[in-house]
Amino acid sequence: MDALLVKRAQRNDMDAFVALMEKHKIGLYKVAKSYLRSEEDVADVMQDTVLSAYEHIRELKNASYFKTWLTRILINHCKNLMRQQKRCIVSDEAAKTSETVPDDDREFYALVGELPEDYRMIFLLYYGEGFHTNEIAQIMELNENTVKSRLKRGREKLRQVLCY
Amino acid sequence: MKVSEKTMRETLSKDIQVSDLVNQRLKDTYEILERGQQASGKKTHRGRNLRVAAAAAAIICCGVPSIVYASVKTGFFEGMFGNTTKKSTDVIHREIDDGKGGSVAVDIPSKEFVPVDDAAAESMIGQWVTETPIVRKIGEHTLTIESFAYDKNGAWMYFTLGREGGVTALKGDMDTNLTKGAYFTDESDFYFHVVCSEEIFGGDNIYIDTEKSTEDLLYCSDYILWSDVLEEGDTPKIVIETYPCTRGELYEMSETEQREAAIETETIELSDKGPIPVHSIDMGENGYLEYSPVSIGVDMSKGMGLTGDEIEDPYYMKRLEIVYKDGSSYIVSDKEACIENSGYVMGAGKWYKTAFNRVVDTDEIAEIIVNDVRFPAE
Repeated sequence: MDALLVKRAQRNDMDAFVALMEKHKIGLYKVAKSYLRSEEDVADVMQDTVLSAYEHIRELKNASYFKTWLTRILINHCKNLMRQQKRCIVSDEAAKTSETVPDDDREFYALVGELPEDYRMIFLLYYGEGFHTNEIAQIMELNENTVKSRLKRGREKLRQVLCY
Repeated sequence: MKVSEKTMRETLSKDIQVSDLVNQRLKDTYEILERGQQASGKKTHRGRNLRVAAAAAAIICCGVPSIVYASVKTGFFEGMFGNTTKKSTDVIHREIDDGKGGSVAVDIPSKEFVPVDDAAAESMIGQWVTETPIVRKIGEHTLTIESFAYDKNGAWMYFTLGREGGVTALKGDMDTNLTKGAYFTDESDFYFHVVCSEEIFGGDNIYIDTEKSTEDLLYCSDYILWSDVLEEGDTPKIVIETYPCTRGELYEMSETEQREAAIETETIELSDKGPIPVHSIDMGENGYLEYSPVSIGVDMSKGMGLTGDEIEDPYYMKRLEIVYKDGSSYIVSDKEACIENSGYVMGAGKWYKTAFNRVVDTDEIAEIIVNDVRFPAE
């Protein structure tokens, strides 16, 4: 389904482009929220990601790679913003529930906050977004073996709190 | 918090509610892009002006500060100094042919690329970056020099090279990006290089953006360093030589035949903007260097404890580091740690020159360390 929309978007079909963005919006939002606290910052990077995708979608050679490509753009924008603002991911803050968090989503934010910082994004992409380790490697510009070992070590770290 | 792996998967994979702020911002962005398509009158319009419109609309419609910075030089800044389509690499160990039937182990230094802040880059060097592309049809290839800037140490040229059916004149890939840069092939029927005068040429390293490039269109970032000190009035030019045959065929000719070959030469001025100003740190005989936001040149005859041939040997540049006021630093080069975070380096007489692979905020420099010599910035 993505492949068809991507091909149409590459032929300047705006409806197809918007449909693609809307389809992946929630996944992108979850990733951005895992990096950034401020909702305005999240809005900024989401907008930047849409603009970058619009500018460069014709350069995407393999339509089936779209979600990986788009997620990588978003993560780069998140990191760029954090560098500019010299902010760090504040894991405890991300976990705090607040009156602005919908009740249904509290569990998600609480779990994201619990995950160790080094593993958070890998866990989210693997368990949350269903990416394979090779795709995560491309998104995060890591070696695939690094991704696999962090998944393994992350699980070991959480073993005390994981029950099977 | 106790959670099973199954629960973790279920929780992380569930949909969450996107905030109204984000939804509205996205809606506004789609409308701007749609208007951009309609206003252009042709569906194929894309590019930088849409980012300008989006940035303006974000401020007007949403009334919140936006980090979406609009610059017509975004391609130049990102291509030369950013990391969106460039991948940082660790040290790479390789065995290469030693030319004697055996192999030798070499280490390719690690290279780090960092994000570029378009707004900051614009404020630091934007006024010296050209905005009008230079386009030349050379045989079946089209050369488009998108943007160009230069200073006393070197130059930065962002260009594309295209040919329907595939670019054959320039060969470049991830491998050349790691090593010596893209190169003109024997199949090419032209060649170009950048000069500042009859005596001063630009040594260069062409980095190919392998993500953006296609077979028919190469996106290239050319890091150039001058072979000598620029004199008053020296301005950069590109010299394009077009041959009646391929370069491979030309090399097989005798010298006489080469001299008589109908080679056409065109020389084009690259910039009307003037050079990016450089700062200098002069410690007399204890050291001297000149730097800009995008380059540095160190006089290796002063303060480095070198004599004779050592002065002109790039081997003796062991470590080059820029330390910022906030304590962070940009390690430009460290031979022992096998780090080379630059676009290009060159020894030019007593000068050791480096073209940075990022834009440096010179106002934030506390000191520059060359080997063991500290140069305090004013």
